[in-house]
Amino acid sequence: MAQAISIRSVMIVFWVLFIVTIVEVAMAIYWPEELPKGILDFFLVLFTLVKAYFIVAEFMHLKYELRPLIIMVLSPLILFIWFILAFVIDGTWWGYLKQWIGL
Amino acid sequence: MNATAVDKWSSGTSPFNVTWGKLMMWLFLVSDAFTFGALLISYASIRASAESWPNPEEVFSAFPFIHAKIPLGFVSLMTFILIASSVTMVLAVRAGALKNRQGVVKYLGLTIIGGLIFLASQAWEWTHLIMEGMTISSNPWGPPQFGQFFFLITGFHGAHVLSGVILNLIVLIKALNGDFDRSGSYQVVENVGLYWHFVDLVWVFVFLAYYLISA
Repeated sequence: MAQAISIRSVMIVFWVLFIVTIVEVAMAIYWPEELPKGILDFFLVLFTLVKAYFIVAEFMHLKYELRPLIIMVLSPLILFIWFILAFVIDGTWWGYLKQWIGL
Repeated sequence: MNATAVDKWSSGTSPFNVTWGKLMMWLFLVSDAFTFGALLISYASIRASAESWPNPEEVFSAFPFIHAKIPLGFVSLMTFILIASSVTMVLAVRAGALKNRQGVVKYLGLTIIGGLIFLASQAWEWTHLIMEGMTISSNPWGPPQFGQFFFLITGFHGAHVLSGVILNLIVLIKALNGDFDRSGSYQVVENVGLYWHFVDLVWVFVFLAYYLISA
């Protein structure tokens, strides 16, 4: 597996991370006011997940491990779907409550 | 695949085919991902409940030695430093796999330098923000929770970078001593490499949650 690390793929990942970060920052700064921010946030999250994929798959070499290890590492992360939804919905609801009852 | 892995699991084939240390590092990283997840998600929850939130482009626009305002300029530079140190770490792991001691020493040294530059940058940013009046109890740009979570999350991440630098330093000293040549395995370099990449991975998400998302 050591032989699987090629300088070429490392440099490709480096440039992907570099360029995607520049695109993200440029989008965050120059996003036109009239377009909804939700679209911007969607793309920012998407680009971040792309970066995370390359770091975990190539830099951390997970792509080249045996399938049981990949499943063991990635399957608990499914909990994040509940984690994010539950807490962000709760926070939003709390924000509404604060406005309605004037806390 | 190799005999030692089979021995460790006392069965025909190893399900993971990794060493004990590497497996434990992966398990630790999964649990640490949830620690950082909890911090970032609680931040998102508080932010969703707040009436107003500071614009990060306005807050994070200072740059050392230059008096011009560059929105997100300095944190982008910090991000690139961390990505670059991740690249040198991959090269150190690669050199370790090839049992090339000089390569390990060279690239691990570069990784440590990258980590120290990142820590110094963060120290500068913290100092600057505290001078501007943002502390854990006050924030001139809006709700104080912004400052609280900023120092909590970047501080926790910074502590990870610091411990990563210390771990890298220990491995560097062991490599210089020739410990890995004697034991015949550079596996430890790969284990600390995983930790270092995880620190980079977390920064990607901190960067998203704190500096980029604006709505």
